[in-house]
Amino acid sequence: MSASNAITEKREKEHHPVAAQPALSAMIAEFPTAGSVLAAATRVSEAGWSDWDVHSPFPVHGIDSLLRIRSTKLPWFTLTAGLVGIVVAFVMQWWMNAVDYPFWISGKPFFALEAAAPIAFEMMILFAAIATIGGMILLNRLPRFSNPLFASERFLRATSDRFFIVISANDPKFDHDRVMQLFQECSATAIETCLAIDAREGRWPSLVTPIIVVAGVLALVPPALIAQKRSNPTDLPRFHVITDMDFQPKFKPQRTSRLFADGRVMRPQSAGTIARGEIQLDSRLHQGMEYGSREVAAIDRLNVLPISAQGGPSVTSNEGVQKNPMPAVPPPDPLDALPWVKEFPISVTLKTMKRGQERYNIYCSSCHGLAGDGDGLVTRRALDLEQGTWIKPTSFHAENVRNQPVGQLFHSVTNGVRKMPGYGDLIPVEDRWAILLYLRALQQSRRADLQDVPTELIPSLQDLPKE
Amino acid sequence: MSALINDLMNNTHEVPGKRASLVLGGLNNSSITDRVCEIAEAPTPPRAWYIAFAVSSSLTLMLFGLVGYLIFTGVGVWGNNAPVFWAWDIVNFVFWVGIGHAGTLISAILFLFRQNWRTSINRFAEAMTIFAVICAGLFPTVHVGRIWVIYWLLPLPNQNAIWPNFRSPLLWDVFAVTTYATVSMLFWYMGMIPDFATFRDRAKTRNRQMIFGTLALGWTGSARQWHRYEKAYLLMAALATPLVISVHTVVSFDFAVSQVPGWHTTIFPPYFVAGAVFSGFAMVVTLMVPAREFFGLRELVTLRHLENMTKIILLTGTMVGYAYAMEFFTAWYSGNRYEQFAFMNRAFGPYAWAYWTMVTCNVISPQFFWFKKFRTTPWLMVIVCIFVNIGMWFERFVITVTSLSRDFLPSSWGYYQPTFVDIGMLIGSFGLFFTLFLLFCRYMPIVAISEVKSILPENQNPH
Repeated sequence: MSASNAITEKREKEHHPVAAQPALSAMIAEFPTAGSVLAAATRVSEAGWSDWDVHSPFPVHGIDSLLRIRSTKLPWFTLTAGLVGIVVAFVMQWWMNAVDYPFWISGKPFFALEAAAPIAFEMMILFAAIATIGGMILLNRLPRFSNPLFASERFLRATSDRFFIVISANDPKFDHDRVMQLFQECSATAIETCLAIDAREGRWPSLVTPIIVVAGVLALVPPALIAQKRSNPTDLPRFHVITDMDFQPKFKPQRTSRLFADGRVMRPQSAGTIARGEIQLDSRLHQGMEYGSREVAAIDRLNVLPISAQGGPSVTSNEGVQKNPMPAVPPPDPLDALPWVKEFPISVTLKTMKRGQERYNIYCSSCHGLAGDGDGLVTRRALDLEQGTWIKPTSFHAENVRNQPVGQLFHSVTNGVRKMPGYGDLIPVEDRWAILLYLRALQQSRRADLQDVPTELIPSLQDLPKE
Repeated sequence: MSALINDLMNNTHEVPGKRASLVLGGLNNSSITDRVCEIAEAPTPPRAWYIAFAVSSSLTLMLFGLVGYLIFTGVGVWGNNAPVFWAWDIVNFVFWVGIGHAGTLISAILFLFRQNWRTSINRFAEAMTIFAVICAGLFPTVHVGRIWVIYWLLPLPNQNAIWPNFRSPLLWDVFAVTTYATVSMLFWYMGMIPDFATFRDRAKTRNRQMIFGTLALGWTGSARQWHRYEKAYLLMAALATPLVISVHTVVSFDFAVSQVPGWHTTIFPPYFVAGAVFSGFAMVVTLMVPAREFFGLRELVTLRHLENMTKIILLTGTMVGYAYAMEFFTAWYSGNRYEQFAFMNRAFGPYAWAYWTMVTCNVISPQFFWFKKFRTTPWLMVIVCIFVNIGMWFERFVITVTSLSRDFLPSSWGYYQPTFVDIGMLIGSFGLFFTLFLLFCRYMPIVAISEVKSILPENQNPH
C-alpha cells in the first residue's frame, strides 16, 4: 500500500516541479468501498480535523455526524416559499377578479376562497419546488465550474466507483506530512495533492463571454422597444402583427355593392315581415281608430275618392263619423273624417292617471306647459329669443282641441302634428294613452263645476283664494 | 443453459426472510456506471434505434405540418361540431396528462413509501412524464384557435386591461398543468445532476465536457452536497405527491364542475387519478420492455420491477372498473332521469361500440395479471399494456364525446366523427412522444446511476 502511495507522490512531483509549484489546495485520499471510507472518516473525525469532506458516488449514510454537518436550513426555504405562494395566489386572484376588473360570472361572488383554493394550492407547490431546488443549489454553492479537485484524474472516479476524503489546506492543523501519515494509517489506496487553481485556468472558454454579452444585449432590445413605444403616444392605428378580426371581408353600412341588383349593402326588410312582438292587430289601441287604415283605404277605393298620404276620404264618405261635426272652419281637415275612437282603449284607473301625469311632465310639459296652455319653458324661451320658425303649441284648452276625439289626439301624439314630431317611437303605446287620459283631466279642470268635486273635498275648496 | 440463465435472471420468487435482489448479474458500482454511461457514450446506437427514430420523427413532422395547417386554417379542420365542442383534442389532452402521472408516482410516491425498486425505473418514468405533458399541452394550446393570443390565459397585463377568470376550472387547469410541467422538469433535472457529473467525469471530448460540465453545475458528490441534496429530494417528493394528485383532480374538474349529465359527478377526481396511474404504468411497461432489451438493461430493470408494475396496473385497473360500475349505481340512485339517460346512452347509445371497447380493454384485460405467467413474461405484459392504453384513450373519448353529443337540447344532438386532421394529430403526438423519448434514451442517463448504487447490498449499512 505504501509503495503505491510513494509512486503517486513521485508522479505528482514529476508533474509539478517544486520550483513552479503554486500553493497547496487540498490533499485527497482514495478508498475503494463505502465501508472503508466510513472507517477512515471515523479516524479523521476523531483526529479533530475540521475543514475536510468526503466525496462519494452516492450518499453514504453515517458520514454526516462524523463531518458534524448541521441539519440544512433548506426546509425553511420550502416552507417560506410555499406560504408566499399561497398569499400571492390569493391576493392576485382577489385583486384581479374582485378589485381591478370585477366581472360578474353566473352570479358567483367576485372572490371566494373555494374557487381560489386550487390555484393557491398549485402556486404553493410551484413556489416551494422552485425554492427547494434553487435553495439546494445555492446552499451547495453551485454552480461552481472550476474546482481544484477536478485537476486530479483520479478524483474523477468520485462520481463513479471510488470514495475520497479531502482535507483542505485551509484547515488550521494542515501540514502535508501529517495528512500523509493520517491517510496512510487509514489505508487509503491512493493519496494525491491538489494545487490551488491558477486564476487563468478557472476562466470560461473564450467564446462564452462574448456569447453571454451578445445575448444579454439582445435580451434588452424587446423591453427597450416596449418602453420606447409606451413613452411615445401616437394617433396612428394600433400596429397589428396578426390582423385577427379587425379587418375582415364584409360590407359596412351605407356602402354600395354590386352583389345586389339595387346596389345597396343595407338590405330592406322583406315585404310583409313583422318583427317579433311588433304585430299591431288592435287598431283601437295602436291607431286610435275604430277600424284600421287598411279598411279605410278599402272603403275609399270603393268610393273612388282621392286619398292623400295623410288624409282620408271626404267627410261624406263615412256616415258613421259624422256625429261630431266640426264648427265651420273651412277647409275641413281630412283627418277629422276618420273613424277615431272616442273612448279610451285602456282601463281608466287612478294608477293610469298618475302614470300619465308623470309621462306628461317628462315628455310634453317642456313645450306644452305643465297645465297644457302651450307655455312650456322651451316655448317661452323660443318666444323670448324671437325665433321666427317657432310655432307656439296650441293650448289644450282651445275649443277645437277639446272637441277632438281622443283617437285623433292619439294620432297627433304618435305621428306628430304641424311642427311637432311624432312620439310613437319614444313612448310606449300604453303610456301615450295614459298621457291622453291626464290631458283630458287637465282639460276638464278648466270646465269643472262644484258637482264634479267629491263631496268630502268641498269643504277644503272654501279655503282656496277666490280669483 | 438458457434455463439456468433464465433462472438467474428471475428474481420474482419470494424467499421468506430475505429481500429479493434488485440488481442482477453481479453488477457493482463500476459496472453499473459503465452499463448506463455506455449507452450514451456509444458512437452509434443500436440499429433498432435508427428505425424507430426514422418512423417517429416522420410522424412528428406530420404533426407539425397538421398543427400549421390548423393554425392557418382554423379549428374547423377538426371534426368538432355544434354539440361536441370538445372532442379528440381534449381526449388526447387528458390521455397524455394521465400517461405522465405514473412517472411522478414512481419518483415521488414510491420514494415516500421507501420502495427501493423505483430506483431503476424512476428516471425513465420521469422522462416519460415530461414528454407526455409536452404532448398533452399541445392539444389545448391549438384548441384555443387564435394561438397568438394564448397569453390571455395567463394573468399578464394586456392591452385589453382584462384579467383571466379565476373562477373557471379551465384556468385552474392552466395553472395545474403548467405547475406540473415545471415541477416535473425541475425534479427530473435535480435527479440527474449527480449523473450528469458522472457523464462529465467520463467525458472524452471537449463538447461532452462542456455540455455535461454545465449541466452538472460543478457537482463533486461531497457529503455536504449529498446532505442538502437528499433533503431537497425528500422535500420535492413530498411536494410532488400532492401535486400529481391535484393535477388530474383539476383536469377532472374541467368536466365535473360543469352541469352536463355524465360529467357532473363527484366520483371524477379519484376515478381520474386512478385511471391516470393505470394508463401511465401501462405506458411505462410498454416502453420499458423494449428499452431494456435494446440497451442491455435487463440486470438493472429486472423481471421483479416489471412484475411490481403489473401489480399496480392490476390494482388501478380494478379501481377503474369499480368506478365504471359505481357511475351506473350513482346514476340509478340519484333518481335523476337525465343522469340515468346519459349512462344508458353511453352503454347502449350510438357510442356503445366505444364504451364496450373501453370496458373490455380497461376492466377485463388487466385481470390477466392475476396469472404469474402474464406478470413475468415481458411480451405478454406489453400486449396487455397496449390494450390498457387503447382502453384508457377510449375512456376519455367516451366521457367527453358521449355526454356532449346528447346534451340538454335534443334538437342539437349530433354525432361526432373525426377528420383526417384529428387522426393525424393523435398519431403524430405519439410520434413526438417517441421522438423525444428516443433522444432521451440516446443522450441522457436513462437510469438513475447514483440511486441504483445506493440500494446495492454492499453499499447499504456499510458499518
